[in-house]
Amino acid sequence: MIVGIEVGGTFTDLIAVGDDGAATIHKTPSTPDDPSRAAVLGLTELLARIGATGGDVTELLHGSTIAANALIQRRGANVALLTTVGFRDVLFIQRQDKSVVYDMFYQKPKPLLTRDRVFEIPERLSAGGAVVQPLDEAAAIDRIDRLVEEDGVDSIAVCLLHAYANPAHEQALGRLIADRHPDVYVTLSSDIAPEHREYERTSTTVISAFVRPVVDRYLSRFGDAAADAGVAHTPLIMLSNGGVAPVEAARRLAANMFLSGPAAAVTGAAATARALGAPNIISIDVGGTSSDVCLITGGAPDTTVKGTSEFSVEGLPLNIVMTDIVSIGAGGGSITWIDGGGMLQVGPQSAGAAPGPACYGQGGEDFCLTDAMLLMGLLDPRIELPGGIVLDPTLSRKAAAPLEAALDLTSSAVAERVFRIAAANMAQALRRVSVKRGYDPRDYALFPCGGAGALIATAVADEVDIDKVVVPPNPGVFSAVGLTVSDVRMDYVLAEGAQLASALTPGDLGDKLEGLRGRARAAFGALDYDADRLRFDFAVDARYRGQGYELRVPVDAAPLETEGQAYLARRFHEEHARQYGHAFDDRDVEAISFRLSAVFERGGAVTPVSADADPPPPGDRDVTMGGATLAYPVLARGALPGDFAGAGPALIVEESTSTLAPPGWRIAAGAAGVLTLTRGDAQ
Amino acid sequence: MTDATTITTPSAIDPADFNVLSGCFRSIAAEMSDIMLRAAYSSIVREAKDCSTCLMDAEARTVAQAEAIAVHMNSLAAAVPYFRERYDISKTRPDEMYITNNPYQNGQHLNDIIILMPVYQDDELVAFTGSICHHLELGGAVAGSNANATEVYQEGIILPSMKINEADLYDGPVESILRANCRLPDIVLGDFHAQLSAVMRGRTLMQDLVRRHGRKLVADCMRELQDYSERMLRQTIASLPDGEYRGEDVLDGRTLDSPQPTVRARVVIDGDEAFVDLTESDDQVSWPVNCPVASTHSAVMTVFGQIAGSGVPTNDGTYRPIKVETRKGSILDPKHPAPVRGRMGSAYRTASAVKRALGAVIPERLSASGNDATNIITMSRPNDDGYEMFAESVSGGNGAGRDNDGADVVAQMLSNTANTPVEALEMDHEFLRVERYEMIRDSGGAGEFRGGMGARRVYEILHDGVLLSTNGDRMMGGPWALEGGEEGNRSMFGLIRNGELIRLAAATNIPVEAGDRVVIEVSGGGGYGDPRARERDAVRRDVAEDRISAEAAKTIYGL
Repeated sequence: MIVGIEVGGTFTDLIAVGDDGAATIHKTPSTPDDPSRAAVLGLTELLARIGATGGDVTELLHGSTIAANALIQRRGANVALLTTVGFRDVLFIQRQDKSVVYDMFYQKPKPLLTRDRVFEIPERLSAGGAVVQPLDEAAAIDRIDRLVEEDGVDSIAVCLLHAYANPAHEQALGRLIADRHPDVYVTLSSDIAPEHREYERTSTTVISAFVRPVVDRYLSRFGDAAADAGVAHTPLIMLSNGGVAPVEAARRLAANMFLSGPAAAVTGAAATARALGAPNIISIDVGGTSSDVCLITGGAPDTTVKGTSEFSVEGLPLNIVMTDIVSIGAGGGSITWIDGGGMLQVGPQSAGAAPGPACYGQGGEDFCLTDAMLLMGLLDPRIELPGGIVLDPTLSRKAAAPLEAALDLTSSAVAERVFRIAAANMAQALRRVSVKRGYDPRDYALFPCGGAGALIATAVADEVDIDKVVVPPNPGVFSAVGLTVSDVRMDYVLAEGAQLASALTPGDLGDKLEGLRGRARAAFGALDYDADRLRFDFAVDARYRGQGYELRVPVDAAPLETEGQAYLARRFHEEHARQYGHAFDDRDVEAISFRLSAVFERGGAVTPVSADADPPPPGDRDVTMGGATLAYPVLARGALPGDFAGAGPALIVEESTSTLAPPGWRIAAGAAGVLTLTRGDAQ
Repeated sequence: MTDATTITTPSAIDPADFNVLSGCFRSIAAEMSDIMLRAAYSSIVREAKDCSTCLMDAEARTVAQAEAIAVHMNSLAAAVPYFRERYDISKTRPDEMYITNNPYQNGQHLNDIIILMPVYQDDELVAFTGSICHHLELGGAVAGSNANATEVYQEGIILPSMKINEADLYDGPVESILRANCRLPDIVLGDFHAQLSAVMRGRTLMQDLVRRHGRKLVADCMRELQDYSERMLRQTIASLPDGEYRGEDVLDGRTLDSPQPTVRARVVIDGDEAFVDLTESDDQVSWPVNCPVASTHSAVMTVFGQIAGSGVPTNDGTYRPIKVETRKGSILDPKHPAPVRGRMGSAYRTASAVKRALGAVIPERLSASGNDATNIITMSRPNDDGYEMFAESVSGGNGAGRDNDGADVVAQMLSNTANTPVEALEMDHEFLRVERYEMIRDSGGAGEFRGGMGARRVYEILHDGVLLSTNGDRMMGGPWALEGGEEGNRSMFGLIRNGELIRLAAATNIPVEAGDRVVIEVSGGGGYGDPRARERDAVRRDVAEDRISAEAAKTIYGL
């Protein structure tokens, strides 16, 4: 039996997939003081519910927000940063620019360290990695000893100028620290993010040093608790890259855990898309306060791009391979308001889980997206939500009253407009991951998940002319589903400064790839994975000579190793033309970084929704769409035949959420337990 | 949250349509900006982001502008009257576009090329897309900013306001002339193509939008978004007390001991409208700090835009409630052919003078002055292929506000230029190494809230034959404070040669050689309130973090 445990802010979601493929889902309230408690409690509850024991669990997969929480709450290690003399202020100067232009009182993202926690070490390298000033080891020893012995520092970040080109000085410092203070965590920039641009690299190194002890302790506790619950196998932990790693490896990869939760849903989406043979999808995970959107092309989710805001956590750059998830403030709790210029707005402020939308009856007085969906008839007030919440439409109507007066519209007309604006806001996030990156959203299917995703998906699709929506099984707990189908994955990068592609022979290129492969084989081998079964995905970050930002160009190993730079240049021109609309075929191409994703496929599969224990109340529901109220048939998803085909209007209800099929959309059950909604006569 | 009882939507447009289309206009402008930044070649564009993009209606009035560089606010629309003088823009053909960099036809300075492209849908002109971009080098007397120019002719090639055809680009005459007149044609043309990519992408996106929603609804929403911004600006101005307020600020002199030109602003607030009279400012000067009138206007608007806050889209409506008057022949409205390359100094003094005028009545809604200057360092060196060159902007601290210390080392109010990573700079240019890049102790003006700290950047020159060009301000006076705070420190540009420090004027061209060190110190921001009222713990933290000296803590803060 495979079990996925996904810890969210409000609820911890679990899913168990039996050897027969039957899935059981479960939700339990999260325990933010120690999230591993709810995780293990939930596991015990789930096992009891299906009459199993810890010994029946063959694989346990876990996604957790522990790293993100430690950062947001600034509860991390006592960190000191060692850096090159003359550069103590890199973390405070940052890139000097502002994220908001017209703000007289602008404040920069707050660094994790204060200025008195940064220490300059005499040393200097050139851009080519040559030693300009040797490392002053005596000065370094003196500083390190005082930091540990007098200041109680338990985690040291080291980021020296140009260390990506030559890690020798950083490694020497790392050895000094390890020899003298073996209990202190050491994070070297040349290990974690060996690429040029000192602010981004320093920030990455410090973030990692800051969360590492917290993540390490948490994972160690979780591993022990799982063992106590009778699980004999090593748990696998979700990473930001969308893969999992065994708990002992994940403990060293703390900076790779920031998207541990959201990446799981994307991974599940990608696996489902591949299983369907429809590999181009855009996933949208609609939660209570935000929506997470990710572009998946050819079955592979995009990873973050330098120079974008997704390349950071809490405004602080993080140069780690992360699933490229655009998160916007649009969710069920998004609040409706009219701004100073008279524009009707929805979000980004949210009523969250407490007090929540007005209809929750927990004291919230703002009209939220959930209220709008309730008044439109999309939610059934007779069905209790987890946590015992009962939706009350009279409270929604009361919250809508001031908007009705201001806009001279009825409450259901207000609700429809709120629904459309929320959908348009989500559509803007879709445009950011597609149009902005040079992809046309019309070439993709929309893949909704999260509590409200499948209710608003067709409206979002309308805004960007997408004509197919693929609803996975169990969309309400899809992050947990995603865990069960994720593969073991670790990423490697080799960067030695800018190298003119024309100067690289096929042999040079082959050596670089082989070096990366060797690192992956060694790491997986040490974790008892069969290194011969690894899949290697390569990419090269390249640019035209003279350009500032590099593009990530996926490459195949074989032509790179035989054709060499001609192939690399060709692939780069193609990628440049796709993203920017033009290429300069006669210009020199520079390679900056060589990347490898090494994947061990676990062979998981998304399983269909089980027949409901409690089928929905039969009969129709009145739904208001496009100014008209119609009786929508309500169908139980678990009871639909495998070859089901029908047409909207309909509401398809399952344990974790519902799917809306408006008039004009066709409905079909598909492989991997999905429901496919297709607009009009589109294919 | 819902302030619905007092405000109603005054138009007949469906509120959802208005919201959705407004979001699309803004995202089109932003997407154009993304394309330009990512496709650009020069570090001044790709790292320092010295470029802007906008979407305009069929009359070439701004609808949405990407939030990029404040001094570019409405700069594209400002150039339109000069196009109209020569052409009937309603008859622009789909393959035509407009171009200018002429400061005397409402351009900015010569480095900034403006491109406007028409958007057609079903044979009807529905919109324009525009971009403006600072080019690293457009010819002129020296490889860098010409500190000694006495006429605009010496500052680079002038592209008069003209209509061109797509065939004039690429191998056509316009690009050929550009290529022949600049020292770094590949970089300049690379950035120029990034500009073209941006306006073309904007055109495609706009055509999609019109196809989806129809011409009428799109046009209605464009007009409504302009009216919306106007309403927001009028509300902001109405919230200021009526009256007449005066403020002034001074520029550095031509040299460190010559007279300093003064910018004077008389600001009249009358209900929901503002009148800004700049006619009493000093006469134009012989060196390149004259401000083309379009830049002067943008500087004034930026102050009001900042008071309104970041929620207000910048467009044609933003400008309607504000009138600006300048005097031809003054430093803020020079007569042709006065040089204008270093206009940012006088543009900043304009914004600073307006802000200071309002500081007398609403200090609590303003921040003290920041470094308020653009400090551009350019270094160039001839090589086998022609030239190699870089330009970068070093920022100082922001002024403090009623409730906040000023941000340290941050792009100032008229710009949003990022720094160039030291590692990127050294990777691309072997003739220099950056020795220090740090914040300066005691540079932030003291106060109950302290000014942000200024920056020091020291370059070690590794090869002979490098030309250094500087462009800056605030060497001769520090940023002003509010409510009893103290001024920020002064900027200092210097050259250390044979162990001796030579101080440089704000605008300088000087050859440097191996072994020289170029020291750029940029001022911190002004303080807000009495330093002795600063929280004692905050003073102690500042000492612990080496932001202020123990001596300053004692003598100025009274610790």
